[in-house]
Amino acid sequence: MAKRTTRKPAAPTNVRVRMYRQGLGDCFLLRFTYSADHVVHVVIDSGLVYGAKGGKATMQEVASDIEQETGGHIDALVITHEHYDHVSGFTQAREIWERMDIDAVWMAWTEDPDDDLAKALRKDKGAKEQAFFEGVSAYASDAHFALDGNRMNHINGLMGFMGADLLSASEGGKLTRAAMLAPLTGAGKRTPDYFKPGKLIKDIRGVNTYVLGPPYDEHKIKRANPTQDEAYGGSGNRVGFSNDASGPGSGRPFPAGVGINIGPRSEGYDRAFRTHFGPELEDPAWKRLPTTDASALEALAMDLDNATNNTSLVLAFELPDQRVLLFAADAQAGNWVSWHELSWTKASTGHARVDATALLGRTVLYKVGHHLSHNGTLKDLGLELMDNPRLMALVPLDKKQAIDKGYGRTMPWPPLTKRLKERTRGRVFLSGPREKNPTAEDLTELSATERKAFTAHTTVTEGYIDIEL
Amino acid sequence: MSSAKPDRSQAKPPSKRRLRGYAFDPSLSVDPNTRGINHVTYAVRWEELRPGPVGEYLEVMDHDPLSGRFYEPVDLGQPALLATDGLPPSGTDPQFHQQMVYAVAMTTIENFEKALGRRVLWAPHETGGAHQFVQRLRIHPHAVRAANAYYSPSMKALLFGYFRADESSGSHPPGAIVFNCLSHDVIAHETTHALLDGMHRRYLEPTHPDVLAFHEAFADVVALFQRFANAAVLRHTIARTRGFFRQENLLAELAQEFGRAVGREGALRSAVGSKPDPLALEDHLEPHGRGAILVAAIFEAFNTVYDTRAERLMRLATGGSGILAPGALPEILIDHLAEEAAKTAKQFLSICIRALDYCPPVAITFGDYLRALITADRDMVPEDELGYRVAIIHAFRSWGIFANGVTDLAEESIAWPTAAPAGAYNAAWMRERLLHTPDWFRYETDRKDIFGKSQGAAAHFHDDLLFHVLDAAIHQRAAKATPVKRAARRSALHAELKKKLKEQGTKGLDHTMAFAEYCGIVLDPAKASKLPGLKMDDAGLPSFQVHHFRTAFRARPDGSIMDQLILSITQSRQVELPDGLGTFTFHGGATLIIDLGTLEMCHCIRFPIDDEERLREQREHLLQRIAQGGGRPLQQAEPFAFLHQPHHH
Repeated sequence: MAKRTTRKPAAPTNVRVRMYRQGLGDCFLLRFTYSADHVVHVVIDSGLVYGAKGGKATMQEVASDIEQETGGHIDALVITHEHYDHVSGFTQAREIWERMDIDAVWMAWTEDPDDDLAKALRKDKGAKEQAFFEGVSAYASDAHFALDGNRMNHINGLMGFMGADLLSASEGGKLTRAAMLAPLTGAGKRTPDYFKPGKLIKDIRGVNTYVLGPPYDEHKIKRANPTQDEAYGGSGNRVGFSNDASGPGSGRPFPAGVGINIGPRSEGYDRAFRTHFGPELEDPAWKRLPTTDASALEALAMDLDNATNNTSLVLAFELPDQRVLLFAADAQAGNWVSWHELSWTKASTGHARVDATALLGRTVLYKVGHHLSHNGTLKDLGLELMDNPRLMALVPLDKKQAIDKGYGRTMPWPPLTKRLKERTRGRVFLSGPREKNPTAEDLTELSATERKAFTAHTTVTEGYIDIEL
Repeated sequence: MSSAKPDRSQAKPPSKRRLRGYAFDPSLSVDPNTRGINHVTYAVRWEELRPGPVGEYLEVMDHDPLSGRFYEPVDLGQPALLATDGLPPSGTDPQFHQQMVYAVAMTTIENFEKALGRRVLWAPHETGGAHQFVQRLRIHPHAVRAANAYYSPSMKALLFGYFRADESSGSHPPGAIVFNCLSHDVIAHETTHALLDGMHRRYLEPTHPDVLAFHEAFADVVALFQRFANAAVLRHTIARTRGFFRQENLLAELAQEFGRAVGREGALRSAVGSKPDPLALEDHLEPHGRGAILVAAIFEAFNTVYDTRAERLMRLATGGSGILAPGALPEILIDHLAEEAAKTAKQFLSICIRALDYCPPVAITFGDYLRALITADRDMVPEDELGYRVAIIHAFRSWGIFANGVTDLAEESIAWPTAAPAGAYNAAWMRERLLHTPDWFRYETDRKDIFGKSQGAAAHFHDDLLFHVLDAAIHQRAAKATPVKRAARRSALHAELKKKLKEQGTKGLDHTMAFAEYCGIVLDPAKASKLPGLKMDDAGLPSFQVHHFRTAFRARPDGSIMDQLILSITQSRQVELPDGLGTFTFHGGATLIIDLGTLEMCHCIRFPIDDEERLREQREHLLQRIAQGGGRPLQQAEPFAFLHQPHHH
């Protein structure tokens, strides 16, 4: 790419970000315009959650639009992490992607086939994945899988990110891997660049691209959930029913003290049965309820989901006027925390020493982490540091799909949504085709000038939302 | 007044047990429109109950394995509860939940017994080829953590779920626990699945798009008609719709509400209450959409009959003009309209249930059910003065449901053929076979005895068809032997029969062979060799089963008595599927309906085992299901669990 830009202006004169509205999934097109005949195109992800209706046709429309807008030439394709809702388009619209001219593919160090820590993490993940998919296949064919329907719905939902569901469990998430690797294989075979945190990419002329995550640290990658104080509205970790908790919010249908606690073993049941129904009532084994327990599978699914989210490649694009566009992918707690261990010298940035606090403070466009979930945006180490008055937020989220997939409780996470609206003073866009975009009444906190500028710089169509910076 | 004290020890048990419950489900108690009518008192047939409740038919067992809890069973016999019509409706008292499932399930059972004219039996527990009597259906009010409730054929149990309402469910506050076991409709629906399985076990085999759809539709129809038994609900809705169900689409409203309760709003909404569409069946192949069409057809017929009845009252109330004065209807008109609606609904419910005896033993289609409805009703009410049958035929036609192979719409063409063609088999010989059948169980009241004797009679009839040509004394002894000894005797008899067949061909068995052909089965070894996959017995003879040996004792509205024997004779073939996809079982045979007074054959509902066209259709349907990923083992293990999942792809 460098060779293309040598004779061009030193800095872009215009920067635009397009968020596609395919539904629950990420796809962004960044356009850095240097002159009428020279534009640098960066695409970040292209995916839609598994099982979405008409997904293939939708992702083909998205790819066609990208091809048309870029003239079929992409300077950098960023693939943030291996989740179906970020990569499905590369196979769903394979023909279009294969004929595009892509100069570079950017990926996180966790995908590097030669990195030892990456290899170890992948091995661990592979073993867990195998255990998980085998377990789910076995469980889904169990006659009584429906007993623990809420838990199975939750597992089914999490599998949506792995490119599978209960009925396709035997395929074991192969679709996602295939989609992620599609741009690197087949006709458009390319060698990606793998980035570690702390790297400063200078390929986009006049723009500093800071690599914030994923952390080169096994412990932090495995840490998904924020502590009570790190995020909004508590950690929000309790999703759905839980067997262990008691009182409100537990899975039990009745208040504590109702019913006899017989525990999970058959001895407790036997005793209660004999006490209350006597010896004369027959209780053959085939009449008893199985004490099925899908909690181990659920834990494994959450573990896998979180671990992959935390391998997200997080990029901050710093424009020549030092405004920052922050693309957090699906980073979770451990990934966010690690950004604050990084810094860049004045010599490398070209203007001043830079750290995460500085970048967050100058962020004017925040691609919200993990579809506005409870663990995708930190509080004091995150959104509270984003105090630029021009801050706006882009959220790849379709609430209806999130509910259908069973993420409705934490996605969007209400306390975070509320704070995000306060911080941006109403300038929040949700990508879903059914979502309402900010209208005048959402923007009353803005001054007349600000409102005018905001309206003038945003274009909303059925297929995308364009922001001019 | 007489001074003699009544002898309290001689007091008869009451005829009814009154139990409080919800008319719909708890969410309607907080709706201002329905608040006043949502609490009802169910009056169920009196029976001695143990804590549970555990009675003759049901055992409520409140084990909640996912919470590690066991909820103490309610004792409805305690004086405090006898005096107060049971526990008051409550979402937070599991003992009330036990009472509610018992009350509604018993109501459903009673409706079946009234219509069928006999005591109902649950499907037997099958173990090692033997069929074991199942005394009680088990009910688990809190077994599943999901918006799901289902009948488990393997556990002979109803499993009800509970779940936390989320923001998307409008009628419950988010976070509230919703209990499926508190919904009248869900309980009636699931109980009906179990009752239907007790009558037609083969209806769990999805050999035709209609089979599982029929199970669903029938369960919906029973639950919906049962709602009409509730006078307060009827009066309320009649007042609101001013008496005209059809115009105000009251039924559609009820059906939608019902759909919401069972998580299937869409399918019912698109059928019930919308304009009949004769092409709809072609677009709906999945059980719920398809089932909704059958529900819609039945309710279309109900509407027609109700309108006829209501119109007479309307004329009376309007001095002949039929035009109502504006404002609320007079109370007395509401009462009479409600009475007509209740009466019509009760009759339709009985008609629908009774028709089950007239259904084929295997692979039912909607067209078969139409024929069963018409035939059963002709037997019951020969003079159709109010036009019920015309209404049914017309409504089914408007939804594109026709009797297979019948080209005209005349009642007598749609009804199953009544008499066998002359010489089809020897009727006198057949009467003799039936007279040989020992132990008539007509007057038996103990369900376990009914089950045992019905099985014995079926086995005897089965053997008699083959062994009557052998030494009669050996044969009679075999029939009276214990099951273990009988098995030994039978193999000896089989060997003897085989020898005889070898020596003389089927000569002595002419009557049997003719009768078998009449019933659509093949017993002639020469003909059997041309049917690939036909199941053979140990002696190498074509195997066949006699089952559903049961009686029906019904009083016609004209006062005459209808006393029938119903039995099924079936055979099966293992049919290879292409591409190593395994095999499937193809059934054939007949349901026979015999007048017990005269031992004359009333109807023979035939589905021949050598019908290659029907076999081809079933094979194609199965291949299509497999291609669509529908033939997975999980569905076969618990067919209803999967059907009732609200969200699946």
